[in-house]
Amino acid sequence: MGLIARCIEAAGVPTVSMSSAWDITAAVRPPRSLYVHHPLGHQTGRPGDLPGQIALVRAALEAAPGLVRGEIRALGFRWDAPDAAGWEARAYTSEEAPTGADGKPVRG
Amino acid sequence: MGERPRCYTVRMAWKEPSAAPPDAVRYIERTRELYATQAPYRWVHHDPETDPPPWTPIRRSLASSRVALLASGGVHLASQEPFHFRNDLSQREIPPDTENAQLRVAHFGYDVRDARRDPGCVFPLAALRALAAEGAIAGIAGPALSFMGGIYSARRVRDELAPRLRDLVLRQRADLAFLVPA
Repeated sequence: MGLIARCIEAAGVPTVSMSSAWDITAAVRPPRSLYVHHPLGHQTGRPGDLPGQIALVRAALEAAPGLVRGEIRALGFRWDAPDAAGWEARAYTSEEAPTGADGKPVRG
Repeated sequence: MGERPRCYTVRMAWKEPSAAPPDAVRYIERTRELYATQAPYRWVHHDPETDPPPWTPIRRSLASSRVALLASGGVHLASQEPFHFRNDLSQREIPPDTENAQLRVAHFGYDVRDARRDPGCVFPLAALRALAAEGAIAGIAGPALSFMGGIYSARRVRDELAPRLRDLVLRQRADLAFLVPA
């Protein structure tokens, strides 16, 4: 995604990118990034929580003009679903591999 | 030349990303371990000395900005062809007024269960519509551009997918592009 942000930004359109993978984002260096501490697949919020998604997107867009070139800023959103304690330890491990880990997309 | 503002080509300062928050998941390390038997996914790395991020200042207020949405969560219309497999470099254009019930998700690289229940987790079209309705943004610039990440060739993203998406964003005359990975 960072490559795409950089390409659009280079053409004269400012970009702002969400991220939930700080290390990947820091390596590719998009122009502006906002980090939320959520599991992958939830970069703009929780399922069934449109007010929360609106709040997150609003916070991201409002923060964008204040970012300096190459900055990744933590937006302050954290994953606190009651059944998700310790999700960080399980994410992307063999215990909790992505559903399409064989390389074929899961469709639906 | 058109009136489109030019990007800055001069060297200017960039911000070195701060250290990752201590509880941030180390995905690069984890994917190496998880897919140890497959060819390693090579995450893109730019050296800031030679390849700092491009930069176009944000000049318009948010309330007067038309926002383009780009998302790599593999979301598509039920009536569109799903994404196929790794290295699918195609995109789908999704009209701004599309309801979530018309959306489907096809992706191999993340747990799609929640995105299927509510695509808004990775495809915030409904949230952008709400912000446009209340005047926080001027509007959604055009069809959302949806594609599937996890492409193994950075070269093909750089040479094929990114310029194609860039041209679509330019055609929408967007003031700001909002990018959401999954």
